[in-house]
Amino acid sequence: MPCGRELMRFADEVVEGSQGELSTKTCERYMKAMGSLLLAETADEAFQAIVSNREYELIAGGTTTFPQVGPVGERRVGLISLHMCSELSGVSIVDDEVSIGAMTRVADLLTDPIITSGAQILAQAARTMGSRQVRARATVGGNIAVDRPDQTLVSALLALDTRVQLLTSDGTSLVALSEYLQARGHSGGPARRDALVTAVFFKPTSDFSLFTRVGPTNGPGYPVVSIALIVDRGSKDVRLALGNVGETVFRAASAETFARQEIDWHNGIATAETCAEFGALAAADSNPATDIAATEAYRRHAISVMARRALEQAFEVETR
Amino acid sequence: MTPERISYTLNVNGAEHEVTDAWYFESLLNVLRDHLELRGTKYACDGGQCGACTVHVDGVAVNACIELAAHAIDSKIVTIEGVSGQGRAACVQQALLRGGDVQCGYCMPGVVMAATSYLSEQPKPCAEDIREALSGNLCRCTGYSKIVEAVEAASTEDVR
Repeated sequence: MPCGRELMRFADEVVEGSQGELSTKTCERYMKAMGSLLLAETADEAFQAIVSNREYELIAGGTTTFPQVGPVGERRVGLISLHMCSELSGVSIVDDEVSIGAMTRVADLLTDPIITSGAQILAQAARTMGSRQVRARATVGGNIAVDRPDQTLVSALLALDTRVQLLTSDGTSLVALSEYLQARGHSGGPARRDALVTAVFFKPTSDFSLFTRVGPTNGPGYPVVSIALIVDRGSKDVRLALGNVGETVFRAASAETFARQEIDWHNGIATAETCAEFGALAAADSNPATDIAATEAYRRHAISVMARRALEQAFEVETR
Repeated sequence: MTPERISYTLNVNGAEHEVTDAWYFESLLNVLRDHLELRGTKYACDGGQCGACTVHVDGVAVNACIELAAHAIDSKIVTIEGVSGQGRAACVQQALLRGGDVQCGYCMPGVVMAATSYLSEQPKPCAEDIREALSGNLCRCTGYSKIVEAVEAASTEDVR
């Protein structure tokens, strides 16, 4: 084994004695470590490492972390890697839901039959993300956990009504992706340190779905804005997620409510006026920033056009 | 040795290489170029955007500048030095030369590595697919049409 095996001391654990009294004992566990690099092999190991080394950086695929790394030898505290957590990788069906492990590579979303048949919108988003080289390393969990409003997969996952599985000190729990994004805060910093994203779950869908974006180039690059639209004719639902026009990716509530009410579900018709208003409301729901890539006005305009065109496409409205 | 300096073994181009006193956060690109002196893999954007540092890790094309070197322990790494003049890479290299596609040449090791990896997955791609597959490899001299034509031409050749 090329890696040294090092004794790691983890956080104290509260234990209950025979008389009901509480005390603490120090837990000592073994974990693969190479100097300041901790290589977790299970989700549990990774979480323990995170809570015991709160100042350490967490790395999954590395595509977001590495561009921020300074020169060789720059003083950093330490690194926890999820690279060896194979249990966090893979796509499966669990209780009629699609489950995607946090360490599943974005490239796998393009070829996995569960995704290409039951979550085309995610495959569409994945195809626009980075280059082949980047997709080979970027992970689904990293895309969610890293605090950026322009992460490509998140808008598609929000439109899919995704729930995030978190490992915390209380065990495993599921929270809505929208709640997770809100709770994560918008510090622009790394992933939250009290929870490890282990998987995402959503219902497979064969309904109309469309992910589209405006980017700096046709090729790799973070989207300037993105939208993800799912129209579920069975349950008369419209779900529209907007990327990079707010502090985090979010659902366009006004536009969704309007569309649910105005679409003629019985005859499967959305008028051109409905589509135009849908786009206008999506733009109004937005709160974009001006930065080096685009102005606030440009982003708002792009959202209105993209949302309108997406709904037109869903109902095959003749475009003007 | 401080905890920030670590040593390990990497399998590169079929041979075991001892890496000693590497920074634990060091990229595969740095380790290849500075520790193992394999400088065919080029340093450029250092952010996973240009593809000049493309290598294969277990057969998958990745950007070495955003690959943690320690993650590649137990993997088989192949660099341009390991494929040059052999198999499908030779076809790609010859097609690039024939087409006059190489000007400064700095991006070419990455292009060859990315194209070779792609052709192993898609042996007979169309020009549009090649263009998309190589979208992570930037060239600032030649432009892309000739590169795409060369890769398409290479895909039609028999590999010796």
